[in-house]
Amino acid sequence: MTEAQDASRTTSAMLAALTDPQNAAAWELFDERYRPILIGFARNLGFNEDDAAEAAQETVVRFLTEWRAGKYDKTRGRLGAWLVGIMRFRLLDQRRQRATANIGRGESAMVDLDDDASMSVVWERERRESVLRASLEELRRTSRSDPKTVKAFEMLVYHSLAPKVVADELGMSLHDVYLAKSRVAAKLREIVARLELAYNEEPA
Amino acid sequence: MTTPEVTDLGSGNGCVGIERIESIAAGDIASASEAAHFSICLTCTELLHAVKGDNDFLAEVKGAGPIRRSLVPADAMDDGPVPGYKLLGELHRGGQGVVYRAEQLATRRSCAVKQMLGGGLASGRARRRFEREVELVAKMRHPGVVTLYESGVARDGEPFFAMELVAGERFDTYVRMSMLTTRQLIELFRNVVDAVAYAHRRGVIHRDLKPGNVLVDTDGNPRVLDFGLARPMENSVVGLLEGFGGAGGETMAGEFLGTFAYAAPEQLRGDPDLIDSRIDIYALGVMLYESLCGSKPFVSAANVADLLLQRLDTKPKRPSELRAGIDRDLDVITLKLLDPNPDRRYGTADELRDELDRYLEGKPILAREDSVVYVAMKTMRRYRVASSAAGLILAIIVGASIALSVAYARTEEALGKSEKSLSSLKNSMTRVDPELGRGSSQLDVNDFLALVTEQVNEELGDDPELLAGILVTLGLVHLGFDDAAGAKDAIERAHQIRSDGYARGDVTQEQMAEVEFALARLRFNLGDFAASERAYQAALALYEAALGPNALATVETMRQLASAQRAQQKFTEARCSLKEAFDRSASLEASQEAAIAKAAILNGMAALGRAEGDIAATLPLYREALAALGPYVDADDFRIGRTLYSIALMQEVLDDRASAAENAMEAHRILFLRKGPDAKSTKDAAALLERLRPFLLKSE
Repeated sequence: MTEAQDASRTTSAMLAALTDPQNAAAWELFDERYRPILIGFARNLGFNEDDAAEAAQETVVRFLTEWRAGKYDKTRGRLGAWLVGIMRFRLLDQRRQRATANIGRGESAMVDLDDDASMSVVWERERRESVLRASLEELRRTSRSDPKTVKAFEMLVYHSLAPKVVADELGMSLHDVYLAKSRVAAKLREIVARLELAYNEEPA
Repeated sequence: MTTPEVTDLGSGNGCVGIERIESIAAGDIASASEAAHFSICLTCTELLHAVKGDNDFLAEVKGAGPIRRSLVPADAMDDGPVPGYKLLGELHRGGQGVVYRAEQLATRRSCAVKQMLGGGLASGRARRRFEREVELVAKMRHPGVVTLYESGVARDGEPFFAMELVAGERFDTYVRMSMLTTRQLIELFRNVVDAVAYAHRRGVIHRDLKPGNVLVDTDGNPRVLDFGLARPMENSVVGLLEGFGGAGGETMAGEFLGTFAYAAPEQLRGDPDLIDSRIDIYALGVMLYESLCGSKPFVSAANVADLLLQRLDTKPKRPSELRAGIDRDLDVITLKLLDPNPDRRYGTADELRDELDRYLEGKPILAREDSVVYVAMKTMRRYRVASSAAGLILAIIVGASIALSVAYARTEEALGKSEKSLSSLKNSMTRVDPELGRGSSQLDVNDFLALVTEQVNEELGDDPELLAGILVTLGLVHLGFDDAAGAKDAIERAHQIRSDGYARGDVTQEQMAEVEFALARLRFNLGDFAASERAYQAALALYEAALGPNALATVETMRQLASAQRAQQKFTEARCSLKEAFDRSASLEASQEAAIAKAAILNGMAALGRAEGDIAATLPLYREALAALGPYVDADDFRIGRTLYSIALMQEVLDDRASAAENAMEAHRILFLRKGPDAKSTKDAAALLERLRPFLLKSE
């Protein structure tokens, strides 16, 4: 596993490592962790995939520049709030440019984004989903020891197959299928809890 | 939160079954008795809450988006010997591994799985390198390279890799069964080289190229297998030696024979520093040799040491010696691939592919590019000049250009000039190439020579010395094609330049002799025999002064002088000249040139006998000429053909028509072969043969 893939690395450790321009792994981890959240965030606000990706790219670059320049202001709150601030500015800027172009076509040049509170809800939802996806990926990587159990879980939860069908397909008892669901859910909770800690956004 | 497991369920009497708990958690209404049980059974109640909690949590997880790939790796569910693949039968078993026909479980596609055998990747470092290389190879996309899907570790701990399944024949089987022409074979081989070149550009060396690792698919396209994956150990040689049963290589295991046959000397020597992409070039050489000749360049040896010695010390036979229809270029390309010194092979597979392309297009190959004569020959072939005529002018160019370069190379500072003159001639030839320059394949040879002459004048106009040298060569080439008009300007200009230089003391006696000789030949061809004789006299005096009375050039000039004298009916002078030439030739060192010169003198004496009407005296002279040439030229050299023609002609006059017919037939065969059907000498021989055919039949 590369350093960048180490999803358990805490935000504080990652941010500390980011100050070293030579530390590509820290940068990769940051990018891996936050770019999808930023894109999801913008998509939730109604931006298309391309615009969302562009704003996310500008945001991570801007963030890194500001962080390395020591411009982080603790009074601005958690890392997520800071990123939202940058992202919001980028998205507004993008909309403004589009709107200016629209004036020529006789359309409104008014731009608007939701208020800070609702933005923060959107951010939190995206962050949580990102944690869940990362947890599933970790489950996938670490579940080799008992593949049948995970397979039963997958068939039951993700393919919505009837427990009886899953039991027949995998040659398990119904009891074992439910046991599998319960065990994998427990394992997943454990991973999610660990990653939630790692994703804790209080900068050092 | 601690979640009770379903194993905790059902232990107590009257507990609700897990299926029902799951249903109730999912929204079913509990029956009255179930509700009563929940009210008294803490276990069932906690479990119901836990299941509900799980369901909510899992709904949230599922809401984060669909999973892009299964949570269970494909190989994890399979318990066959190769994870993720269902093996459907063995395709091939070799020294390094077994190849199976297989199905990739995740995709259901057919593929081939090769499992390495025998602890090949013992160390962690070797394994990591293997894995890195698999990554590189997996990224290769080329029509000539079999695609690698993935690699992994089989249940027995040995590495395996899965690749595209190609329906086809091994390269050698395909070549044998398809009865390919040489050209078709080279076209096929070129595509193998192209695939190897692609891999080399990506830093992947094959290391075990051999016919078994190249499949020709049902469309006739070669596909190379096992790129970069064949190295069984840290260094392939070590692995190979261990395969022999010890580093000493005392015995040879059959499985490794195949690999050894294609291994370069540096691979056998075991020095990893020497191993680079040129080991693939060597292996390609063995494959090409084997395909062309039907046998390997080296016979099997008893052990590695002998094998190595053989590779280093023995030069394989030229392919053309083993199979008809292989030309000199293919000999050169093949033997260059097999050079024991990697520096003298083609450096990359790209270079080799380009060389094969040049060969297939009939262009000069670079392996022979330093020869002016060679470039000229190739260019003329593309002009469709009869090979016989090409042979003639080439003989002249060879002589003239060598003389020229030798003359210039006498002094250190003149060496550059010599090189410049040769390269200028070569450039000129190239520039009139119908594809590259201004020429056209419709030009006849005289137009071609005129173009070359014009180019040379342009290129060397500012360097009269060099210009004169090249013009002499070209003038003689024109004469070789009976184009005295074309030769006239070149030789007269060269003569003028050299005469001026000689007067100033800038031109040597030998250079002056050379241009006088060329002028004499020109005058002879134009029918001005008196002027020719004067020029030969001048050349003779100069050669005698410069090189001595018994030098080859001196003797040759004296023989030619006799021809000019004979043409003027000055038979006595001619006889004296020939006798003098003959006597002096006795002191020439034995060589092909000397033998040819001697035979020419004998021919000259015979021709003189004919001119004087002494036919009977000519036959022994011609026979002596044949005997002089015999050891030094091919049995079907054009000089032999011409002499046989003369003998047949004399025998006809002497009424020995049966012998005449036989000699005429042989003369015609040789001249047809060497000079082509359109040459005057071939036509003369054909006419004679036609006259004598009835006697030929009678003699049969």
